[in-house]
Order: sequence, then C-alpha cells, then structure tokens
Amino acid sequence: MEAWLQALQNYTDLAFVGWVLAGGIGGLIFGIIPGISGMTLVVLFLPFVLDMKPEYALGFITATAGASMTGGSVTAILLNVPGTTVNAATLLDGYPMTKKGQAGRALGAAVTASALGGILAVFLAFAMVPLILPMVMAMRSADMVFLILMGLTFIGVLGTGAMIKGLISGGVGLLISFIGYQSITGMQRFTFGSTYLYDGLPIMPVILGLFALPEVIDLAAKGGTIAQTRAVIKGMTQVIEGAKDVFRHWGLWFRSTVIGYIIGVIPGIGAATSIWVAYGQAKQISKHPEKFGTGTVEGVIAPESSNNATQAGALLTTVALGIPGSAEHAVVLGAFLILGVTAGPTLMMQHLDLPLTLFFAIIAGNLIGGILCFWTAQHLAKIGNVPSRILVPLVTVMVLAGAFVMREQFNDVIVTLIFGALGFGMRRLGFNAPALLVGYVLGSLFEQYWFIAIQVSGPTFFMRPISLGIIAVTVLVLTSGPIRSLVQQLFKKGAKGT
Amino acid sequence: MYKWMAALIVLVLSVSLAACAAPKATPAPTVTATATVTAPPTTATATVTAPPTTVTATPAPAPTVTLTVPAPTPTPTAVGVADFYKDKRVTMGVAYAPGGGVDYSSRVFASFWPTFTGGAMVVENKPGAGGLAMANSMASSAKRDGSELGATSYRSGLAGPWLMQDPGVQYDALKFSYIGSVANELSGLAIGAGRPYNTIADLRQAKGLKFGSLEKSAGSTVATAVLIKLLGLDARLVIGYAGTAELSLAAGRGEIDGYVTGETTIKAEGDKGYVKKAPLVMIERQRGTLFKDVIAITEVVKPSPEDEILLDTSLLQKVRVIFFTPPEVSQDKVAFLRTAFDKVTADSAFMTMMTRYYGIYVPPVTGAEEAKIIARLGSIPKAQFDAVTKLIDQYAGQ
Repeated sequence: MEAWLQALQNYTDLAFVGWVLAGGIGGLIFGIIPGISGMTLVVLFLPFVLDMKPEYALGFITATAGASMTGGSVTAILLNVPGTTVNAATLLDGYPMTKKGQAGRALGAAVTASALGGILAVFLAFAMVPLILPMVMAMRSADMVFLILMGLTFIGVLGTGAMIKGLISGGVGLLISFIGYQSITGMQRFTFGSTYLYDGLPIMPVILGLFALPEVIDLAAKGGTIAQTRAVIKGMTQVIEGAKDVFRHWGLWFRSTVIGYIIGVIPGIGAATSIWVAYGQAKQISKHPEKFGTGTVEGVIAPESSNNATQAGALLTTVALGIPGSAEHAVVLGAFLILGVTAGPTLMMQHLDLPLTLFFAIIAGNLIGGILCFWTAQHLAKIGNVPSRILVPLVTVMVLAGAFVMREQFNDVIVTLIFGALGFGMRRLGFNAPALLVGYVLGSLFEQYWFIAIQVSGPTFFMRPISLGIIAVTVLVLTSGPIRSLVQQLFKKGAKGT
Repeated sequence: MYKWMAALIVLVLSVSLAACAAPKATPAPTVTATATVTAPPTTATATVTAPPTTVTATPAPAPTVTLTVPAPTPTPTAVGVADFYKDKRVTMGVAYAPGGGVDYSSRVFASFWPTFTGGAMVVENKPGAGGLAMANSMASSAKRDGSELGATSYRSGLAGPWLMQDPGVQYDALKFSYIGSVANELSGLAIGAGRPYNTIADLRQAKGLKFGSLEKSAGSTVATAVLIKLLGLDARLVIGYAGTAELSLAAGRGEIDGYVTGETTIKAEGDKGYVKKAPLVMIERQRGTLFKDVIAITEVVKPSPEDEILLDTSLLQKVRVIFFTPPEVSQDKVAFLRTAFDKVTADSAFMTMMTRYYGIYVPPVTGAEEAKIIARLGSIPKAQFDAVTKLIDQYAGQ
C-alpha cells in the first residue's frame, strides 16, 4: 500500500507531471510521422538522462512509448500510410472507412480502442504481476513457433475472397522474409551479391510501398477526394460515434486487448504478431466476416486495441523482468541502466513504487495521446474531403520521406517505389497485399523459432501442453466460422423439415 | 477547414525535418577548454589518471597508476593538426541504427570530444548489412583528411566478415587506422540458474548438454565451440537466439543449460536470477576481471598447439566498440585522434556514463593495441577459420 501511495505522490510533483506530459505529446507526434516512432524520440533523449532524477526520465520514456502507437493510427486511417509498422493492420478497414466518408468514426474508434486498450493492459499487469514471471518462464521456443503460426494462418482469412490468391500472396511474403543473412546456417540468401540486402528488406519502405503508393496512384488517376461519399462532418458527432462503437463491440475490444497484452509480455514476438492475431480472430468470430476489408469498424478496433496493449505488456515485461519485451524495448532497458536502475524482479520486490509510477505513466501516455487525438479527430477527418490535386503531392512526399528518414538510405526509397509497383499490380490482379505483409513480417520470426525448437527438442518439439493448447485454439478460431455456417444450415434444414 | 490542414502539414513537415536532423545532432557541451596540442606518439612514461579496472554502479575514485602514453610535446605539425581539429566538424559514422551499445558509446564519446579538442563531432547512423555498409563506405568514399571516423562492433561489423572473406566485404581491415575501443571485456560460461552444474567435473559428467548461441558467425559461438572441444564435453550448440536477453530467458527456463557471454552480462543476468551469479569458467587465458575467483579454461586443460590457435581465433574476436579512420589518413592526425581518445576515456565523467550503461567500466584498448590485434588476426590462415566453422557445424549438428 505504501508503494502505491508513494507512486501516486509522484504525480503531485509538477516537474514529473511535466515530463510525463512531454513524453505523451512527443510520443504522439513521433508516432504520427511515418518512418519513425516514439522509440526514436527515446533514443535521441538517452544521452541527456544521466543527471536526471530516474522518475522524471523514466516517466518521460514510458509515457512516450505509451502514446506512440495511438498516433500511428491517424495517418493509417486517413491516408493509408501507417505511422508505425504496428499500425499496418489498421489500414485494412481504417482507410476504406475514410473512403466511405467515415474517417471521423474510424479515428474515434481507433483512438478510443488504443487508449483504453493500453490502459486496460496496465490494469491486467497490476493483476498479473505475480503471474508474469511464471508465464514467461513457461513459454519455450516451441510455443513461440505456434503463436507465430497462429498469426501466419490468418493469411488465408485476410482476403475478401480468392483464397488461392491470398495464399500465393502470403507465400511471396514468406519468400521475401527469407532475404538476407540466415543466422543459423550463416548463409546469405537471395542477396545477389548486394550488401544492401544483407539485413533483409527494411519493413517500413515495404509497407509504405505496398499500401500507400497504390492508393496515391489511384487517387491521382481518379481525381476528386479520398472520401467517395462526401460526408458532412459536423463537430464531434462521427468521432463520438466511433468511440461508442468500441463500447458496442466491447467483447471484441476486450478480447483483442487481452491478446495484445499476452503477446506483449512474451519477449521476442511483439505487436507485429499481435495485430494480425487480433484482426484474424475478429474476422473469424464476427457474424459478418465478409465485411472485413471493406471498411468495418470492428477491423479498426481489433488491431488498435491490441497494439497499444502489446506495447504496455512489453514495457511491463521490461520493467518487471529486466528482459526487453521487444527489440525496441532494449532501448528502454538501456535507459534504466544509464539511470542506475536495475529493472527486474528485484526492483518489483524492493522498490515497487518506481514500477507503479511507470505503470501510471503508461496510463498517462495513453490518456494524453487519446485525448489529443480525440480532440483533433473531427478536424483531421476532413482530410478525406481535401482535393486530390493537393493531397497527392503531399502524401507522395510524406511516403518517400518516411521511407528515407529511418535509415537515411536512398535505396530504401527505391524499395518503396518497387513495392509501390508491386502493390499496384497486386491490387489490379486481385492479389492480397495484407497477406503478403503478414508472410513477410512473421516469416523470419517463424523460421528463427522453428530452427531453435528443432535444435532443442527434435521433430516432436510440439508435444508440450502449451504448444498443443495454442494449436487447438488456432484450429478452433479457424474453423469457428465454417462450423457456425454448417450448424446454421443444419438448423435451417431442420426447420424446413418440420 | 484549410487552416487546420495547413497547421497539420506545417507540424508534420517541421517535425519530419527535425527528426531528419536530430539523429545527427550530438549534445555539444559549452566548450571552454583550449585546444590540446599533441605530438605524434613518441613513447614515454607518464603518470596519468587511469580508468579503474572495475567499477560497479557508482564508480570509485580513479586510482593513480603509471601507464605508457604518447608524450604531449608540441611540434609545428602537432599545432597544425590541433588547429585543424579545433576548426573542424568531425563526423562519427555509426554502423547501426540508433539505440544499442555502439550508438550509445559513440554519442557519449562525441559529447566529450569538444572538451578535449575544441572542435565539434556529429554522430550519423549508417546502418546496413550488419555493419558492413559503414565499413565499406569508410574504405571507398570517406574523406581521407581525418574528419570522418567510424564506430562499429569490432567483431560483427569489422573483423568477423573480413576474416571469413564475406563476399560483401569491400575493405582491408589492415588499411584502416584504429583510434581505440571501449566496452572490451572477458567472456565466461553462464549456467542457467536452475541447472545442476557448478563445477567443470559436473559438466564433464553430464550427457547431452545444450549451449545456446547467437548467429553462427558470432564470436560467442566460436568461443562456445572452443569450450566444448577443449573440455571434451558431450554438448551441442543451439544457434539462432536473437540476443543476450533471449539466451538468458532460455537458460532461466531450462531450454538450454548455458551460454557464453561477457562477464558484465553474466553479472547483470545473475542479479536478475536467470543464470547463476558467477560464470562457471572463463573462456580466456586469464581469470575474470569482475569474477577474480573464476578459473580460466587454460587452468583446466593445457591446450595443444592446435588448440592454442583455436583459442586465439576465439579470443581475438571479442565484442567491443571500436573507433577507426578510413585508410590513408596522415599519421599525425591518427596520433592526435588516438591521444584525444585516450583523454576522453580517462575522463571520470565519461567513465561514469559508460559504467551506467555497461554495469562496469572496462579499461579501453588503445588504437596501437587494436592495430596489433588486427594484424595478428590477419596473420591467421583462412584454413584455421574454416576449421572453426567445421567445429561449429559439428556441434550444431549441421
């Protein structure tokens, strides 16, 4: 109880509150800009933290991380340009909603789902603090294989039809993920002697090319505005409607948040997996899966509540276990070290007030990001009504700059253009760009854990309760739709018979 | 409507520009020091304040010891070089993306540069090809006037690919000039906290040990293979873990029995409870710096001449952050840079910043020493490295 009071007392310190506010606003802005994320801000901040009070510096950092992903959904929904890589699944339904003139509603839903997802994840963490360590320690590489496989299996359900083309797209994505250095065999694959390909293809240029450029081409060719239905946006009506959608679909929001949180606390997987698992289960369990991909609000709520929860979960693993919850959180762990704070179980046991302070900072970051985005959403939504002659050049510059800014390599711009052409071609021929992305993002992770599991336990590595449980859940989620239709048909037949 | 649009566009563009510029910006403290006049290194014995051997969270006051350092005798050339750097903005190219040890060490080094030279240093991240991209650009396109430095991971971004004759390597590591390196430390075998192995005898009696490792070409993978061979263990390598944190978790949950890593990592992970508090053995010719009671592997087995070479290939491939210049930089500028490096790394504030990040302060390796190590590595025949690769394949079951 004393630790809780001490943690809350930190929030009466104006300087501390100022740092948390700065982190929340900074994370939001860096999250909105394609190509960089809140973690970029954290990295730039690191050399300055040495002389700061640990509470101030860590409050700033955790608030930054908390708000970053909320901002990333804004450009994903409005322009089909994800602010961060983990907003990629939001493109699938967020942008079609903008096209339908429902940008405000999509933003309202995304921001509310994000912020509340991030906050719920913290409360889940409070409840699960004693369970995190046993849970993480119970998960082995074999279990990771099937968790990632769960994300990969949704390749087949991502499309709005044409299953074969979806699988081919996913297969191409897997192939692309194999480009570069293979750490287990020590071989370079598909690099054709180019050192640029040694690290594989960079993710942000691939996403920007695959999704944003085809949209820019379409917009330029068709003219007009993104919103095909010129909706009249009056005040906050649409945005509030979007927020209400989250409460209408509270079960979906809750499920996706829990998925995000659980995947977040497991080191090594992260939001790249959770957004697709959340999206896939949302579609499979939905009563109208055919609407997914055409601009349904459920397709926005699922990935957005999941990615913020993943972030919170990963941050909590970093603080509570001293193990970076994701590659990005290695930077956060670095900040702990610089400040002389050893993150890990000892910190949780002996100085619980500091982790609690940081958990509250995650809540603050999510609230700041959520409130700011919510407040501006009604105005941002009007982007859908901006003429293409203004929007096309601006978005093109934004996309190409976003591709360049991350590593400052001109080759990344070329990759964006190549994937832009690929994305455009795929769209014209009815192939499935999201499936390609899922294959690409999860392929190398899957391969890594697959090889480790084989090396550790041999070909029967899946004979573990957790692995078998994950396999069962995957099969259940994948078959729930067809089984439901079958049951409904049987009932109809039965009704006709009687 | 358009005023909001305009505001958004201005906001996004301005922050984008700031973001583009920001990674290059390095905190430049107010410079009050005058430029240091330094001569080319004529070896002399001088009394200086040296870095403490081992410092934990709060660094102890630096002890005064006698070291051999370049004598700072001003000469006309040295004055010219000092003036050159006083007016110059030096670029430090970092071979990896922002974040991580190399980036942090370089930024900290750059922040101390003005104090000791009067000039400015900016850090530019040049990631790509696991660090090769930056080393290649240093060899091919970097300016030869001493205004461009490189920072990379010695093992994975410079020496490793060069020694293994990676087709992507477009540089000769012998032609670079080395300024010095930091974060150099000794390696030991970390054992999972719950594993029943406390002595070498326990290891030798065990059947089917599993030691985890990073990528196949990592220095720690080489060291693990050498460990298995020298001790004659019934063990196999599990290659492919993404990082030290993953290895610690795997050891903590019993997926692997242990892994080879630096002793600062063993201390940190031991404190968290994932591995035992001390390494079981040092994969070195000497005992630990941090763990003085832990024996060296050469105390357990007397290596044959063949094993000595194997041990060399492991020991010379340590992980550390190395600073270097492109080829053909004049010797007086290299000498100036080395002296500046020595002064920065002997500064107590620098030590504090490095200690905070790495857990302990490990004395730096001087530029001259680095040059010797690289030369020694370059003299080992390629066949020897092929033999190590075969050993790794054998233990990994490939």
